[in-house]
Amino acid sequence: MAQFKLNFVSDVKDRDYEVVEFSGDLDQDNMPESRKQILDFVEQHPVHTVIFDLSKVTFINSEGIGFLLDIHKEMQSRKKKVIIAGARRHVEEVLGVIGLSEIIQCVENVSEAITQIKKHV
Amino acid sequence: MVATIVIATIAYVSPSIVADAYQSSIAPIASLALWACAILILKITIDRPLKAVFYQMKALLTGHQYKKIFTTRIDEVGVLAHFFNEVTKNMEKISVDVAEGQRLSKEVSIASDIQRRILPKELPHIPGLSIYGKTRPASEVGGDSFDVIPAPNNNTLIYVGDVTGHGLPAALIMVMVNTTLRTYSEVYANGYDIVLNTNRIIKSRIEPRRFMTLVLLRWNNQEQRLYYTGAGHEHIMLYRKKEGVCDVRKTGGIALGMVPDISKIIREELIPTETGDMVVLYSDGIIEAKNMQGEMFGLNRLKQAIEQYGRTSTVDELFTHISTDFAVFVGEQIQEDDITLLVIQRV
Repeated sequence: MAQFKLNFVSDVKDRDYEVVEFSGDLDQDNMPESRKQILDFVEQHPVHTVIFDLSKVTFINSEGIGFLLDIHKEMQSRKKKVIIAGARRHVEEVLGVIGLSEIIQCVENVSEAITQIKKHV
Repeated sequence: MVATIVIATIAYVSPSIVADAYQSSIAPIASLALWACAILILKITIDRPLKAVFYQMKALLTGHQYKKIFTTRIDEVGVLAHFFNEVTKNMEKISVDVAEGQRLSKEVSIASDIQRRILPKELPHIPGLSIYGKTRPASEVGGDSFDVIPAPNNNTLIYVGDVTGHGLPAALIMVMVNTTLRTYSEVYANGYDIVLNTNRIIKSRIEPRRFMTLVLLRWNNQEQRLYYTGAGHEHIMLYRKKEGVCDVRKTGGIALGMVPDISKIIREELIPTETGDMVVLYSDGIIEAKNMQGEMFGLNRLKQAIEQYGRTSTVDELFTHISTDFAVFVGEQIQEDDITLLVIQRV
């Protein structure tokens, strides 16, 4: 049972994207504090795409998917894009089964995400 | 405080005053006056306030209306008054909590009744199939559900669904989806349209972070064919009797309630089956259930159980075998998620 944590990567000096690192167990859908932190961060950094780096996420279940889904909807309403990067095998499987990967682009790692972003800029 | 000083003064002074004034005629009068003052002061400073406190205490103990005692005193009487106020404040809070708890408990019990009525008690007889299944919610009401729905055009719909979370909010969504599926089963003759429209209806009515995974089977007795439409649910276990092996099939699609239009994400597909083959549907509560050592039951154990008992079992026998294996595995560990298992055989 690893504590869920967020880390807002502060040295991305690029106007096209920002990176939010998730770590630990993503197994709750009701985390108002974390939700607020992410949305405030997006407010303060008006880029078009936010990369969710899930490489340090050790566990995810349907509640965790619910949390991501909620944030994604908020991002969509702000006309922003989300790319999920670096999901480990178990996490990738759950994203695939429930179908979140059908609506959010998932890539192998953060570099791949950046490549995709630059292609469409 | 005042009373104490007065009494102390009198006690100290009295003997000498009495002795001195013994010869004087004013002694008895003065003495009497002093005593009268003392008694009056005692009455005002101790007796009356105490009576006020005892009055409220008596009211509380005899079940009558009582009032908070207002006092600025910090002496013994003050302590008594404050103690009374404190105790009654806590009592009031506890009794509100208890009443709230009772009200919620009653609501949950009503919801549990409703849910039991909706989830099938007796499975209908379906020509061409033999079906056995159960759902066990983790608490009084759950998010897991299954149903067998006879429909027009020789169709029978069978589904297993799992709403995120459990308890009352999940149960309400489950009821909404069940009703919508049943309604659309009378309108559309295929799983794709039923699931597509059910999703469209419920998407707008549930919280953004909630969704429901679902797998819908459609058995057509005239064609003698079994189809499935996946909506983000667990795999389908297909036991092929002739070969004695269990196929694990991904169901695909996307869970209900995530996006309004899933027309390009879901599909209805055929599962090739022969007489005697079995299909096992389940919710993730079974796969993710842990034992005392923290191990998960997992997909492999389920597959093994099906392969071990599938050849010689009827649907209820296979259900019992799997349930027993499951119960033995989890042992005393408390289950936090709803559990659903449904066994279907083509006869």
